[in-house]
Amino acid sequence: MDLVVQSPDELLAAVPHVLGFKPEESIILVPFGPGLPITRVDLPKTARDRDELWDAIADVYGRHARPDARVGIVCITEDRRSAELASQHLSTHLDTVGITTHLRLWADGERWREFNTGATGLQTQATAERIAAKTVLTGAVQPAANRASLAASLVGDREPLAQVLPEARAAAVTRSPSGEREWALDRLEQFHADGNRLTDVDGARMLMALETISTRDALWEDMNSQNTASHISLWTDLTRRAPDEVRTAPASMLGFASWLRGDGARAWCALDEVPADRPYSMAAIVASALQNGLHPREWERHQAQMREVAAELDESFVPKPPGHHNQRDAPRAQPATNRPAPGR
Amino acid sequence: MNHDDSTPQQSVTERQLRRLVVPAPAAYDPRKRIDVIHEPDLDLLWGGTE
Repeated sequence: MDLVVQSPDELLAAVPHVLGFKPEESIILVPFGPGLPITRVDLPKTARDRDELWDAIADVYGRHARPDARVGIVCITEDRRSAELASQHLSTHLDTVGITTHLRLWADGERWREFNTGATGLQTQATAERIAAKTVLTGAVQPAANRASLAASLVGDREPLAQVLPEARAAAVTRSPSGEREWALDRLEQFHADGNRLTDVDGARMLMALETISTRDALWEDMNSQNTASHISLWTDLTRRAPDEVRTAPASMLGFASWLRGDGARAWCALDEVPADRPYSMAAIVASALQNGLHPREWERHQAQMREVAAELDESFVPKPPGHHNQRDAPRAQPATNRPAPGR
Repeated sequence: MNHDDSTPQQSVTERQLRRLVVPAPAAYDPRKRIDVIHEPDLDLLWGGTE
């Protein structure tokens, strides 16, 4: 692709396409080269919030910084003063871990200002359309209108599955967990091959199968960097369709798959679909990975090490395959209090 | 979502992921979440060259 971004206006137009949604009241760190992630957080408005922001991302940037690393700081807000203070604060701290801030850009939807040089300009619709057209040519999905729209895209019609769930639950009792695990893995493989949406009956059966931890883990361990798109497609669909009582597992699977693909924002939206009265350890751990800015390659490296260890062991010492224990993981019920609002 | 990480029994796969992260439940306030996009498509921004 030809060089796309050559001006602040173009950078502002391109940011939603790399984030997957149009940011609002946000501060975004955009790297100028490989190695660093793109990071978006709500714009801090107080000195304490600015300190907390740096505390939250210091490890991520300290860990991933390469020599001569450069970033741009983009603030999207009408509050120009907060943007200037937050970008300066962040720039100063980034410098301490060897990252140079190449620009500090503020925009309110109509105009922009680069704080380092004082340059100003207008955000134009023509530029936004031109950048969007270029991304269409690459086949990229167009960004959601905002983060709330991204979250809303994970909520679908949940009634059809609710209708067939009692029958699926009754059938699950009569089948062996190991047989259901095999069925679920076969159905996953079929989905990878054809990408066809699961019927209501298959969807309900899959959701029931996921309630057995060893089955869920077998499906989870199928995820790798090559098939995340397929996993995201499957778990997005089931998260959209699953009633509350069976949504914890598919939403957590979607959270993990989204993180594995590098998409932290979508992963948070997925975790928000875990019902608040159904705490689920997988969701909590994925949330930790997101908030710590853990790079997906750490997981793949760890998995590779585990495979090496397993390969070196005599077969008799290899852990029993998933399903050896028919452990169930029905979420614990708990009063729905203090539920956080979906992330913005 | 509820970020309760106190489920008594974690599966093998959960424990593997758990080893890689340090939980920070206080930071899960939705207003303070970090959206990190790893390995972003920088070609989209810079066209493969800076």
